[in-house]
Amino acid sequence: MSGWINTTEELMDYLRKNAQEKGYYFNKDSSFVNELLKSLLINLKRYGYASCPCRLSTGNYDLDSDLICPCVYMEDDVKKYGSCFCALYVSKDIFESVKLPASIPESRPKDKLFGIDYNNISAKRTSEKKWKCEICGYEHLGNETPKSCPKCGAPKEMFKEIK
Amino acid sequence: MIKHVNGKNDKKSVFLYTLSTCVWCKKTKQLLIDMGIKYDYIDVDLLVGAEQDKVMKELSNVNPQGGFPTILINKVKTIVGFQPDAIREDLL
Repeated sequence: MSGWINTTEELMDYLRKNAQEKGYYFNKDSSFVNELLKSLLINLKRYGYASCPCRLSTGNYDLDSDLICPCVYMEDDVKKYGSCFCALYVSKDIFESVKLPASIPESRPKDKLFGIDYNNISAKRTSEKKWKCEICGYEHLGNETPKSCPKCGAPKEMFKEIK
Repeated sequence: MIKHVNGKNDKKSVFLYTLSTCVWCKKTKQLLIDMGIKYDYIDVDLLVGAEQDKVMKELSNVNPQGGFPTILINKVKTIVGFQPDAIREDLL
């Protein structure tokens, strides 16, 4: 996915096509949506998939798959609260009214939020390489460097492995 | 990794668990700045490995229901999500 989506416009085209097929509505606040798209793109570059910017991803696809936008909680949240957790997607009612979506409660099960064995993840992580951006100091865990630094945008060549 | 934001109003201690990518977190930070509240925050997604795990464990104690932003006031009270009315009521 990250191979052919490199800009917020491309990401929006992809999400819009999906939304048209499924009958989803986007938040009308374009500056709010643009902030979310920028964040989704950061996650896409950081993890390799556009996971929810309002929740913490682990970087492990299996643990994060429920969070890939539009997340599995989106449809129910839109029905129940009028918007998804991030307020990227809204209900038809909100879309057609002047009301603005608000911050809503978390629908992701607690065992997914905190039930992960953090010690276990650390053990898994220590088997991976650790990289540091020489420009801003951002640290990345993984067998390879990210395509570019998610924090400062430096190219991957600026990442050096640290031991 | 904890960042400090200065403000004239330092009557209460205010600590935020946030994500650098979360738009509600950004709105919460901006509201506190507009209100002149002094606060500290940590962007959990920018932490790596054991350091992130440690902060997430801490957050699960502070706010068992989870979610960003979590605002911890005077080390006891929490406000979860972007809740401008609750924030104004508690901090002004």
